[in-house]
Amino acid sequence: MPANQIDPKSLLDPALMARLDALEVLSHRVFRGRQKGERRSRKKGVSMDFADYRDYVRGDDTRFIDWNIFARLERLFIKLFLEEEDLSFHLIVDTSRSMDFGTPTTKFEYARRLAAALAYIGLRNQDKVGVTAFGRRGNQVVRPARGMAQLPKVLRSLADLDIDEGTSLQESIRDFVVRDTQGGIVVLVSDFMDERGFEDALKQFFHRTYEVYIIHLLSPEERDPSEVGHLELVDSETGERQEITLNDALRKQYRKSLDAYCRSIRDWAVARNMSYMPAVTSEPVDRMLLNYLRRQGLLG
Amino acid sequence: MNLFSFFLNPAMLGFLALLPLIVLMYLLKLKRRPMLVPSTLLWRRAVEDLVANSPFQKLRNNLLMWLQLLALLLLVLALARPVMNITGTSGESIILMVDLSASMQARESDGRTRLDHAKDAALRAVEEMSTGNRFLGTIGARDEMMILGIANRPIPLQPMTSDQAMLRAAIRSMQATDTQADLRDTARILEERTRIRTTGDDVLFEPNPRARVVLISDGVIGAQAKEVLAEVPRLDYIHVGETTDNVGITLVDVRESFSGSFQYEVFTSLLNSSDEDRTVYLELVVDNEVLDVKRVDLPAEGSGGTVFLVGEDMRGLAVVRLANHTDALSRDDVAYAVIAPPSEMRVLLVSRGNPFLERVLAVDPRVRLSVTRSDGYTSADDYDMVVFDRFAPAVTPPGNIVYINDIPRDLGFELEGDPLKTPRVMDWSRVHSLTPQFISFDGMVVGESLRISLPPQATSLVQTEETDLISYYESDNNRIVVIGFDITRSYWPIDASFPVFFTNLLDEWSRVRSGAVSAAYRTGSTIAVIPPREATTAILRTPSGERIPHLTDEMRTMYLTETTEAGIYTLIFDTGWENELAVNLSSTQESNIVPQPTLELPGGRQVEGTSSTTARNREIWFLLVLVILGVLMLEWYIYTKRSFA
Repeated sequence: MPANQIDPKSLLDPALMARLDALEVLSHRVFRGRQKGERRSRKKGVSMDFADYRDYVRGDDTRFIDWNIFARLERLFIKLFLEEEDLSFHLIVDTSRSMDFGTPTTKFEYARRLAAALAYIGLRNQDKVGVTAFGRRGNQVVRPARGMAQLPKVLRSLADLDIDEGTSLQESIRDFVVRDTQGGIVVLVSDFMDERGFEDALKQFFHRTYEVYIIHLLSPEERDPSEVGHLELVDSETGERQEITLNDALRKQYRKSLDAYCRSIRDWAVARNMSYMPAVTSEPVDRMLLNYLRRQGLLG
Repeated sequence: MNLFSFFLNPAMLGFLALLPLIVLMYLLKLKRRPMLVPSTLLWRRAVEDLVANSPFQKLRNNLLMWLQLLALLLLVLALARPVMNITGTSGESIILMVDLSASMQARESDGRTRLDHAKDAALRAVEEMSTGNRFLGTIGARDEMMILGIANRPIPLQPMTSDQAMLRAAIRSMQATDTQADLRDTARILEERTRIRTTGDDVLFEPNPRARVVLISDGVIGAQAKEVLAEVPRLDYIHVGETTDNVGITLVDVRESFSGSFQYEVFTSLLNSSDEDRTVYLELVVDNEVLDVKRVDLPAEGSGGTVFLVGEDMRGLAVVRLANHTDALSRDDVAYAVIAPPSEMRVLLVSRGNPFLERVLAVDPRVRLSVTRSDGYTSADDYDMVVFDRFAPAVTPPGNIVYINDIPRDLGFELEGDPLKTPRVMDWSRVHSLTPQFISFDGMVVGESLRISLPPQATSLVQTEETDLISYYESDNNRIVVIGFDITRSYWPIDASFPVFFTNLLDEWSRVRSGAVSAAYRTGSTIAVIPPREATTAILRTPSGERIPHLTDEMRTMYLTETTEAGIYTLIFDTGWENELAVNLSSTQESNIVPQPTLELPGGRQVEGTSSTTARNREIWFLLVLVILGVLMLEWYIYTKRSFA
């Protein structure tokens, strides 16, 4: 059994589920779904919510002519309704080696809990939820599917996920974009510790209509390194070695570099209509969901 | 000069070979603890940035090494026992201050006085002055020195010079005074000499790096002197004196007895500075006759006193002395007081009848009062004081005059318009001797007063809003008080200020004060004497027999300042009148001769006394050890700040 395999039930506990019941995934863009779903899109169409009128033109569905108006104005108007769409909700979890750090919860475990909770919200609201893991070439963990029946499968897959060697952000996203044809909301959970940078990787989301949420995961140790003294740091992914003497000055400089890095991702993302959220694994998952993601507009 | 002569143990310098070891240790690679991290990406950036931001990184990395090298170097130097050569610091301006106060007369166990020891130390200090380098010509700068005696005021003994012969001569001529050390005036000299005035945006007084003050003293100086010394940037203290054995008379005062009008009381206070209890016998001698002997028990480092009773008919010089007693300081074993006969004061009251004035003047035992009506007034020549009540002669006679409800027009006093009705007292002088602070004129209710314009020489004593009720005038010939209202038409005579004012007036104008039947002054104090009317010159004979001539300005108070010697001074006027003045050391500070090897200055500064300036060969290894400690602490601090902060 892989080291990181956990009990699927531990990913979501009933108390959290109860609190998540009130939430749903909001989309800010219009997505063309294959099935009229519960999602409210800005595309007007057939649903129970009235949106506007327009002149009748030939070919329109006569069922939607407002006869009351015709009686008063002797003109034909078509009642327009907000069209409800189903939504694809893609959860992408970084499984690179660097995610396997952090106490008491590793970033990897945290990412999986977060993904499980988001999947639960999506499935409860009749969205199509799919899970993709980094690295495993061409391996979509769970294909997008609808309905609460999907939940055990999603949880099982997340629980079975393991750290993958030699993954790169860019290849993983490219694989995802190539395979997916529907667009939708993407939540990408990663620590962005990739030598090749993040820009080229994230750019690939432009090939489809995606609403991208980036959750940048950091462990408390990464934010505030508590070690002191003369150290030889070994990169978990590349094996590269870096000698440092960790003191106040270097610690300060490290914080500066980290902040600058986070800021560069955020600025890049915001400029391209993506949402960016830094997250520390010391923050409880439910607080992350109920406070921050809500504020960012992903959940409502 | 051989470098090795700087060290007492130069062999230890061989340990300097250890220095390369430290460098070698830094050449060895530091063992680092490996640590697996998610990514070195950001660390690499941080390290790069840190290096990019600080060009001195390499140097700073080696700071610990430099500190260790320094610590080792200092340690080796300390082991080699270096000595400091004082003459090495050349080009100094040395202000040599020698304590010449009374306690310096104390005789030490070797039979020499503290001043003798101080002279030795001062001569040594002159020896140690840098006289410049004969071989290098102008390169080695010469020290210069000034010598200042410290007594009740600074005694300049030798201005700044490099001439050692002159300095030595000045030192040999030094004599101790009988005064108490007082550095108030010296403070100005020190400030001028030890600080440099720098004028930039602000005027600042920086310590003069060349100036050094050397104080040679037994440390028996007051708290106030220590305040002055605390301001001195560079102060060396050469300490003389060891003995504490002294009993001194610290006070003699003769007063009229409260228990009966036929006796005087001679109060005495004594101080024992030794650390043993002492019993002394105190004699009172008047006119060369021993009147009384009293036993006084004094606790160790304590004080005590006794009171002698003297009959009324006893007059003349009273001497209080310790009988059959010898101690280190003899100047305070005897004290003097002059029991003067009550001086008679002939007072003429020119009045048409004033019971209040007659009463207030007649009640004073000094006053021999004559009363005449204004038409009977002819001359004031035979009187010490004349009171013109509601009358003014055409010409003001010379002498002490009081005008009441009239003015001396010939002296510039003028009337301005009608009298004032019920003037109210607004204020009065609180500094004039006739109206000292404790008198209140608030209760002075006056029916009517003159409106007087004062000449410039006059000062106002009591004022109303519009005029002066009482004013004072002094000239070469006169002392005049002008009371600008009729006291019989006021409530002043029933106010307490009335008799007090006239008593003050009589005190002031009589030659000897009432009450205090003796004049006993402290050495160093200034004695104010009112000369007799016709006197033009006077001679002051000091206790040691020196005769100091004085010119007197008739009626003007004369001031005697030559009082550095304890004993009896005689002031002889050319009119033949003689006045004896008793001057005593009367100083608990100086009688307490316990030497202070360390000067505890205000602000926590301590100046350790050295027995002499032979510190020229003082070992300084402990200074190096202190520096080493400092360096090690700094190194530890930097190390912990880098590694564990």
